[in-house]
Amino acid sequence: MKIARLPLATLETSVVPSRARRKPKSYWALRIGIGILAFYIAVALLSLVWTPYDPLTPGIGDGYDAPSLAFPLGTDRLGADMLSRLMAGARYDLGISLTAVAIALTVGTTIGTFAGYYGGKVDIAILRGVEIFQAFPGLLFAMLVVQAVGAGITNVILVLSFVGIPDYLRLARAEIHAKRHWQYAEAARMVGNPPWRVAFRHLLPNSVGPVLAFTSINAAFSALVTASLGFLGLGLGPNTPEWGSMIARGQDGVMTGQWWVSFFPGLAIMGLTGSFYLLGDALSDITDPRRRQ
Amino acid sequence: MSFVNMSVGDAILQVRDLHKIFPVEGGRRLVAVDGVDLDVAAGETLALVGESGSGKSTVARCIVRLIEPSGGEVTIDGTAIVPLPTKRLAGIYRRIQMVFQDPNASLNPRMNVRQVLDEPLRLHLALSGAERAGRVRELVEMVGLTPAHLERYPHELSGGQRQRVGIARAIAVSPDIVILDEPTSSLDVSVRGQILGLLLDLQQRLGLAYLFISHDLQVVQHVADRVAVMYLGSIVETGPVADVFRDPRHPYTRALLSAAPVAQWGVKRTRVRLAGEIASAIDPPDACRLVGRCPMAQPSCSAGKPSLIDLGQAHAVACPVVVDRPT
Repeated sequence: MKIARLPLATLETSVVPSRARRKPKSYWALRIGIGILAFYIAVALLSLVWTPYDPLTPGIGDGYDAPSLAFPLGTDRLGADMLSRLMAGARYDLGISLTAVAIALTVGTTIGTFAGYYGGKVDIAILRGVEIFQAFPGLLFAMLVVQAVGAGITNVILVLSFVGIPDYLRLARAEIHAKRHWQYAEAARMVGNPPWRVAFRHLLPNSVGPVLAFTSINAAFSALVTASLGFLGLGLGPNTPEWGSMIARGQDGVMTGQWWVSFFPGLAIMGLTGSFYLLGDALSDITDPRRRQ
Repeated sequence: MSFVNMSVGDAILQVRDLHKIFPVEGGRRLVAVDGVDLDVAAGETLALVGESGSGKSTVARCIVRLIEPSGGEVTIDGTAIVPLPTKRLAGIYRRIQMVFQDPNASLNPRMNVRQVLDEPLRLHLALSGAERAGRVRELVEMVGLTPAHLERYPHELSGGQRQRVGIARAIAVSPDIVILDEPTSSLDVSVRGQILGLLLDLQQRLGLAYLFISHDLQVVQHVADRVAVMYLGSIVETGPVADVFRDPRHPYTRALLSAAPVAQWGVKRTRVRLAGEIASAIDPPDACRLVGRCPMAQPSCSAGKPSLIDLGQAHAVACPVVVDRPT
């Protein structure tokens, strides 16, 4: 008589749910994402104390100098050093998008937590308002507002964070709303926690996974909108070494063979948004509770 | 309705005419708790038993205001819990605490044992950090854990250990009464006995009163002093455990007790069988809730919901039919 063999291999993999296979992959994306982002931050900080030339001064080269030893990334139409401008641009693009994300994250999550925990009419009113607002495309809204209220870094940051708030609000609200009747929330109330402590001390830390994962997606979006506003000539001053406006300044050169003026800022934007997306992907993998423990 | 004093001695927890009605679609009303009276004396255990859907957990949650009761009064040692403005509830939770059914769900996954136990102390008592740390260590040892467990998170503990943490949290601020909401039903059979033993031990040492919610009659017989049997939102019989288990009077109590297995060779018992399923609690008629299922139903059973009738020795039953007819 044959004894049926237990398919040991299948059993083991089903007992330990593919964690062993998935984890290295998320860490791989996480490491590359963090690595690229760290490089950008380092460059932005370095540009505060050192750039090869002054990024704001035109006429250092003759204009449209091809990449060479003296100008590794060439010069633009006005003869300003591209490498110096690119380094200084990291400050603007990174600083604007990260600040906007931080504001949107804080404000959106706070309002969303309140709405989700208390529910009721205020919750419904907030949600409806957010839905109306989200019917507008984010970039279009940002363009209109910046055009209306005027240029300047502060305005750009505020508009970007305003565009981001609804997403954080909805994510946090959904998580808190689903969890507010969980037993540990009830247990927290019975321990004597006031409602705000139940919501922020007990529920929020258990709900931040999706919010944090979204943060990097939102950062990528903010970086793109920042560059788009710069490209369209909205938002920052004309000589600001912002990557989007640098692309715009190099547009004409692309047709006549001076590709480097638009290419390198474009590459910088791509690298930055790419690293944010990698981070977001890895974070949503890691914070998914089904893949922990 | 005439109220029957069911308690022995002075009640630490008094529940009077508690109601909970949930609105359902179509303007109908689901009557989950329909006029419940309970008394729990200091240091005693009152078991509230009934099948799923009888409303026993709803009673527990209404008492501590985890859900808002629709009506009635609850007092703890003379102080009102129902009605009471929500803002003042926190103070009440020094007197009354709860152990939840599922220790896995009732512990915050991101707080370790020390944080779980420190929180009630910080919120309720004016103690220094060192005093709180001492109390936390004391609590951990009271429930049979060691200080080594303090830094563990819930997922690093076994089910029994988690429930011990849940118990330690409930007794942290020295309450008068603890509501035990099926504290062992989500645990392995092998650790149930230990947890019940711990609860009995703590009751003796601390003089706690328990309101023990359960559907497990054997456990109830083992731990409770008195029992109240619930059916569809109402208490149908109440009395000392020994009396009710030896001589159940209400047809529902008889059916419930006769359905429990007997762990004794050769003992046969006659099953009391009820017809059909538990009735709907939506828009119930003003009649005995058991009327469609009861083998002893009389025409009078449909004329008004019977209230509890005192049989003496703190035993009371909500069935005029069995009271009039000697068994």
